[in-house]
Amino acid sequence: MTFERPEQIDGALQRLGKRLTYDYADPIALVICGGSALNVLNIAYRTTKDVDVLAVVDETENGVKLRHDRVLPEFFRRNVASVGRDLGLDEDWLNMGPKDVIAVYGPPKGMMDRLNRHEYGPCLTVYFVSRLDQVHFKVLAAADPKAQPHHLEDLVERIKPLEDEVRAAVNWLMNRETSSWFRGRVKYVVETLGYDSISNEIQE
Amino acid sequence: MTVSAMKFRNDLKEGLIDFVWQQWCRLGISGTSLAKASWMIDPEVLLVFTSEIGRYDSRLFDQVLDWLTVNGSWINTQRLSAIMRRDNTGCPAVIGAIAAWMCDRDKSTKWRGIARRNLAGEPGSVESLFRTARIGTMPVFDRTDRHFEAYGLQREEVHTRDMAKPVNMNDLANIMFKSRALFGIGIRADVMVYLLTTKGGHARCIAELLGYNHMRVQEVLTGLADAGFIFVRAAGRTKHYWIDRQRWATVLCSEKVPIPHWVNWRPLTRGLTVIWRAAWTLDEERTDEYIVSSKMREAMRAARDDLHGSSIAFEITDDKSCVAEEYLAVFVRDIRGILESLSTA
Repeated sequence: MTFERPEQIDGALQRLGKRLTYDYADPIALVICGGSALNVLNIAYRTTKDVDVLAVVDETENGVKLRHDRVLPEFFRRNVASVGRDLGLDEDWLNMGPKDVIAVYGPPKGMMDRLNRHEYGPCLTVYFVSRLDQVHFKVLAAADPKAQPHHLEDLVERIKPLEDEVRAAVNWLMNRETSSWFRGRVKYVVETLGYDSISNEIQE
Repeated sequence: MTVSAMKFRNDLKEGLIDFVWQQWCRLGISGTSLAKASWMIDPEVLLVFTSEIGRYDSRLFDQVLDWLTVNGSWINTQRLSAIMRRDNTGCPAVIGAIAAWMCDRDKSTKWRGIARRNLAGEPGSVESLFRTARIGTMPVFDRTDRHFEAYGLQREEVHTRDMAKPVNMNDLANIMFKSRALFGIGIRADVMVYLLTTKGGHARCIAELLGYNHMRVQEVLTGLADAGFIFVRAAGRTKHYWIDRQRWATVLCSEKVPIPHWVNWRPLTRGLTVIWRAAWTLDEERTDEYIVSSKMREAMRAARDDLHGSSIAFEITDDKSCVAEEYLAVFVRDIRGILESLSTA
């Protein structure tokens, strides 16, 4: 089964929260990006097979701290699998597919302040990545030649990012040493989005 | 917990207790067995299963103790231990306490090992043997039974009613006893029952179903085949053993009754135990329809292969077509079907 509506994603997370609460699991907080976050935040609607966890976070008195060194605990993954079986989803419908993004690129500036917090009972808290940060991650994903075409489709057909949003994403990606090949890929994405002026600012 | 979920749990308890009662009645405890099943009963597996289910029915439990005082000599205590260990069925403390209680009544030493092995190393918490009272409440007894107390189980001192009868050797369900009377209590007797009630099998399969060591079963089969009591033929890389069933039926069965059906009791009680434990560990104040449905789906998935492997025909619905809470109604229907099969087979 795939998620076709935001309520289905919400329903899966609610059931996961119920199971974790029932089994006295340790509370966990996650940052979620990708198609599920687009749907739940009403940014764009498309079917998706999984819920992409960008990172585990610690909720502290001083705010939310990314813990990109942490993986999903075994007990938590077993509960994810159980909910998957209950709903006819893949057993790893909630997974850390994009976990390397934060380790390699770091979070976009101000991302933590823009997260949308949703509670699914006392044991599961989810922070959905905002529209602006989704644009960052989608530009990166679309620039990957091995990536599936839906990333570029999400940008072009669903999110339709504004010029400022694309510029912020490009600045985030270029704010480090990059290869000309990578810059070429980013330029291709930006041009496909119709922002030639931004593309011209990217060095060959 | 929802009303339907609570009802299913009670129905499951009543159904399993009734099933266990019926089997014991055929073995000779006081009561009338309505069961007309033409299957054989495996005493060790039934005793292990009763050590868990019987905690919900004190009358059944004490009748089984009564039965053991008369018929305990037929029980293979080594096999009892092995089955409980391998199958994760039954309640080790209860079996230990029963064995300790039997040590005072059986002059042989066979109950001592199992009594010693299941004794907890450190004195731990004490709980009520019978689970009829609300959890957390401890009934008060005039005199607690020392045998059970040593295993952390509180109950009133056992007073049997001395109403159990010796096993009826003419009942086809009791063919394992009759075979043990002829061959002695051990692998040979049980292997002969398997061969008589089935089309035969290979050593590893027979050992697995009976809960014996594979090499020892192989030795017994080889010996019986060498002596011409049973037959053997190559089947791929294994050897298939079988018996002249009609000829041996005249020895091990009464002339008036047909050969009983073999039931794979170990997988049957393994599967039922998984479902029973999942149902009875549900915290009814903290569950809702989804949690019950999810936990029961898990339990049925874990039990399905064993239940199908019991050789009793059960209808178990493929849960993949039932999303989330929808499964609960399907599960309840399947459980009803299973209990019905057990009571009417």
